[in-house]
Amino acid sequence: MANVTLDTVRKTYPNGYKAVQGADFQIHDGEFIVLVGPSGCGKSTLLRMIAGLEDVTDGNILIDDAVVNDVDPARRDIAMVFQNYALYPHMSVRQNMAYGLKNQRMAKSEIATRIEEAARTLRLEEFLERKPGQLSGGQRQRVAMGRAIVRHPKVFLFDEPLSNLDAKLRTQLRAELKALHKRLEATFVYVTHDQVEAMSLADRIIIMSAGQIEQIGTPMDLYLRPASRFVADFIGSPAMNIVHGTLGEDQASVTLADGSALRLPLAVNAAVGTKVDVGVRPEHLEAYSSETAQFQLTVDFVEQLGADTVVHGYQKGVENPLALRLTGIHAPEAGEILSLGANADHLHLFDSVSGERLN
Amino acid sequence: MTDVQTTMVPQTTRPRRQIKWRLIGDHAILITGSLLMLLPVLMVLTTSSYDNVTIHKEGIQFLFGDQLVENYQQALFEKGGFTKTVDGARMLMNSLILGFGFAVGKIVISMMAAYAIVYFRFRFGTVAFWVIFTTLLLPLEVRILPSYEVVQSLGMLNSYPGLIIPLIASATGTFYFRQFFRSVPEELLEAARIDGAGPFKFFIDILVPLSQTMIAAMFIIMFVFGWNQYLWPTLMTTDESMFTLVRGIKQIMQVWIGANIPDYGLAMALAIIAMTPPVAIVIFFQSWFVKGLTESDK
Repeated sequence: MANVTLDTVRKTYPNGYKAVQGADFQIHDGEFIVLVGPSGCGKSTLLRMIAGLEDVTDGNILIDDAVVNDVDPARRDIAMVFQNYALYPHMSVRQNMAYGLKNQRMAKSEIATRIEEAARTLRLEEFLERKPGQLSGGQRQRVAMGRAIVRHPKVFLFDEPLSNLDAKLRTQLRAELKALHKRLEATFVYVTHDQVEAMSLADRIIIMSAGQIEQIGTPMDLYLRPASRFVADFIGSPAMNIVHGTLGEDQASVTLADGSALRLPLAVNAAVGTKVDVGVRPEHLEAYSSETAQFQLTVDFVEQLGADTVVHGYQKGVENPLALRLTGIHAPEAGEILSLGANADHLHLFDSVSGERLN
Repeated sequence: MTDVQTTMVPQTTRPRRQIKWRLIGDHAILITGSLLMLLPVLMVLTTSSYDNVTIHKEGIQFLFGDQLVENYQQALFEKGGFTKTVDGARMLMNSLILGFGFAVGKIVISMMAAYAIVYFRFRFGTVAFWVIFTTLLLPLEVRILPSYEVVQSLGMLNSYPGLIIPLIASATGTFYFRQFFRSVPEELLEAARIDGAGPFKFFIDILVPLSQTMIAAMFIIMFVFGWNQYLWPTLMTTDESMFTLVRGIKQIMQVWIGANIPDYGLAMALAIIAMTPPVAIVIFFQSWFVKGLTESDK
């Protein structure tokens, strides 16, 4: 088990593309870290650099306080699980798991013990003699995990391991992964573009955009106090409502595009006239009396999901459509006007230009 | 569909008949085709069972005669040629050595070349590939004189290595293996790297087993190519004990028996013998061959 430290790590490809522009963080022993972001944000590149599959352009990667920049992937004491499983198709499940250990010249009896142990953990005992081609997607992914487990590595690396599976299986394997992490107490680094996976698995999430790290924090940190508009927009489904406007004279109201004012139950520490984006999550909007309400939502259409209801609508002076999430089953009519507001804790203000959080 | 069929019932059997005619037409074409392919071979087989005088007098025979065993025995085991040092069995062995040598050698060399081109980034790698590729446009006949010169000056005339090694580099093979290796997912290489497999281990443990069907396909193509070589062995061998079957058949036609009749029966028998091994190889590797050419699931 190990710490992983990234010290101002950069990656620039030979063609000049800057995939990672300064990653600087520490992963603690036994932590489950999820790297999340839209495709092309550099999260996989970062993971592959930790694995040793990509060279580091600048900066240092340390595993247990030893710089591993020039260490061969096989000698970093890591294991990696790939999106498309990357199992050796001509080898049986047992041989797949044994291959890495054989290359380490481990004793046969020790290899057998480790495979038995991993097979038991992953419920693969009956498949040990089968070829990957004879297994289902979920089973293949478990074999890929088994191949990682038998190595007893310091760090487990996962590159979108569940993306190729259907939704139901994904949920199931997600739970298994979480349990596995608990049992192994190992350091996990997990890359995904799926925010639900990130939220449900992570001890801490590192959210990236265009090669930059946007925020590092626990899932609830990211949810409750997103550091930037990008994070606010990325985490949460349906996405956060964003309203563009200009900060009014009293620093407690926002002038919308049509000149109407949106009252804020908080004071903002920014210059009057600053272009701002006000964000509020659909689930944090509540019914207010029409005098105290901040939003007047005209209902457009309704999505009834059973456990909750998502109401889509619009407001005069607001360019973006707005959404409201209600628990339980509701059926507001189209055209109906709802008076809504949110608690000061649930309002997020961002600078329109830089995207940074203002409150 | 059912509606259409019920309304057609009063018109009785007309549509059915049309389908039948098409069936017969299809079969006729296929049968004619197969006959065109098979009949000459069959005629050679039947004719090879007569003695030379009958063949000379009456021409091609359609039924089996009584000389079958004798002719084949003679073709395989009687020393022939000018020097009486070579029999059919010897030529068969030479041909087999040439065929296998070509096939195995070409597969080994082209796999290694393709491996280098696909998996190693070296200066002028792509250029090297295209240079190899353009040699596809140069048939053996174009470079046969310099090749002869080289083999001759190395003192390799009339030897198996001299026959095999100069033709062992294969642009076709390299090209096919390159295409195949490129279709192997990148992650497999990365997984192997993490599993501690170096370049050599990755090649032997992962790539070679994955290429099985491709190797089988290449083996057939290259074996038949080697087997059918005529010009090359003709130039490289003067010693009759090094003759290949393809070469030997022609030689036999030039040897006249007592009454100045060409040795037809013997030549026909040799032709049949010469055809058998490639056919056997194709039948043996057929299922792999088809898989190798069509398989996309890695």
